[in-house]
Amino acid sequence: MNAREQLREYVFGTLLPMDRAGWPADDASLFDHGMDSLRLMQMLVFVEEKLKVQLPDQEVTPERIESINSIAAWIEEHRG
Amino acid sequence: MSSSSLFTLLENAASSYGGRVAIEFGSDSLTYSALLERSRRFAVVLADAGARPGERVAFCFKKSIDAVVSMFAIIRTGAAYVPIDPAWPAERMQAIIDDAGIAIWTGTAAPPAGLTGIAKSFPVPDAAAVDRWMSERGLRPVDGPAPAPERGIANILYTSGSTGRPKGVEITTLSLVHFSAWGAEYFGLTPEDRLSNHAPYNFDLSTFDIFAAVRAGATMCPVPESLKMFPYQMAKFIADRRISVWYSVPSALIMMQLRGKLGDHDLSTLRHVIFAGEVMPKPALQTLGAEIPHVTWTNLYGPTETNVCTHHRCDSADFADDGPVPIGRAITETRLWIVDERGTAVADGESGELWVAGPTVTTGYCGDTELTSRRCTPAPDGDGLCYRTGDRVRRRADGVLMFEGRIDRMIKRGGHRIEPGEIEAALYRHPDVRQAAVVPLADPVFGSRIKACVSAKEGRAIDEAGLIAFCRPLVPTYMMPDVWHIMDALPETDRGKIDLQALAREV
Repeated sequence: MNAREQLREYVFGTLLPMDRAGWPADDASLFDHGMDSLRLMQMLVFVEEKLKVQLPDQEVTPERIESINSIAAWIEEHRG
Repeated sequence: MSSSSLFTLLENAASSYGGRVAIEFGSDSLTYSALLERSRRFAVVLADAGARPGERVAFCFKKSIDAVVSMFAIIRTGAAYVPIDPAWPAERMQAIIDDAGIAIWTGTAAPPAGLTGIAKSFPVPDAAAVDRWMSERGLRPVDGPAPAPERGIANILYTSGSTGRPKGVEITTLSLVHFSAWGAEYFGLTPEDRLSNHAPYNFDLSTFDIFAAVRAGATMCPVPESLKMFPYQMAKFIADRRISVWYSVPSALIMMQLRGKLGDHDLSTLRHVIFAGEVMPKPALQTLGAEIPHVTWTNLYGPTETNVCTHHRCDSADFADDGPVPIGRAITETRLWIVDERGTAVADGESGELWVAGPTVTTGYCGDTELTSRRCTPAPDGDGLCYRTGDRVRRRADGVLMFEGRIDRMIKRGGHRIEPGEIEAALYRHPDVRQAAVVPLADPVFGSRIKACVSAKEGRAIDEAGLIAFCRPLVPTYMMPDVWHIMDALPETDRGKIDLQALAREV
């Protein structure tokens, strides 16, 4: 699984779990699917610990965590 | 006594500090004179629509200047304002509209389609809209004192209810006037101060930022909802807005400490940090205190029903030891008792339930005399009623109170008060659910996360995704369980009840 697939599995499988058949598209807004501050913090820890990518805190903005697409692009920028 | 009206606070501010900025939001601001004028004008429109003492008006706003104008406009009519979070599911909004008997709506947007009972709606009450409504109806601003609200009730704050329906806590004008007077003096607020307004309007925390600021002629700086998930942006907001008094739930502060890079921001204007609504973990306070050494740290305590009733300014001993942060001592004119199950005062140093009496205490729950009579009972000293908090506390040898937990099942998640019964009631509406129980899991930042344990009826199948989809229209996001456990059967105690302690122990 690449980083985007792992992220999608984590977000829709664990963080905001929903029926696999109904998983939103990668450009769907996560804010419409129950993302809140506690879940955002958990997601950042997942990216750091499981995907081994450090995301700078100052870059955490609504635009970057809007969707799977935007998070994946952001992770890509910081891959070592 | 003229100072016993909330609208008088605004009139006094406009007369003493008329040219000073009352509120700043985005690139807009409003002086105290303009805030007074705009709220007087909108009040005439609302009064024409039927807002008056005894009526309840929906107040469904995102953080904005229009929100504060509308709050004072509703207060001016003598009606009670009822905050409704725009992010709540429509079904919860409807339950509140029905419960409070709301017919008039004010808000950042029109009511969601399908809500019933709203006869008149005033969405986006900006200055141009109010001008239009006034000219359509040929209305002019009126002078004279604002009428007092019926039974002195200024607003009704809805919180999670254990029976599955939210319950409305009646907050009096006396409570808000008393608390804002105490707060303005205790924190030495002046017109130079700039107060953050972080908590949603349906939290009692947000009344401090608004009414204490107005009392002092200080500037309110609402924190946009879009920043609240973003600790770095929030810390930058404190620096950019030159905030001098910050008040929030501890989790907002802990998020800023963990991911806000506090050292990147110029926080030199900050002088007081105040927190309330949940337990502040001691390690987090110690780290915060080391990173922002030049400010005072104050813990305010009180369930919605008592507004703030105790306070504790953290001192060097608090930062040095590892024990919990005290909830402190009573604010002025407030009486406290620590009692056992029979209502008898416990021995010194023993723990018991905290009962509270004084000017900030609620008159009861909207339309629920049965619940009111169970929780608001005659005060032990015979002087009026007291509120039974359900919080277990202990008095330390030096006299400060220590919070030790709940005597019932209420959970705090990020400062939100959550009755497991409300989530369980939603789950039991699912046709395939046999048993449902909701328990807290300890979380270092947010106090608790929520775990739902569910079993299916014989021959039926349920899964996490289906239950979440079912609950989403029924419970707000902040109540949505974080962890789901589908079980064949929930463990039971000897007496045949679901064994909540066993469920809480499982990870």
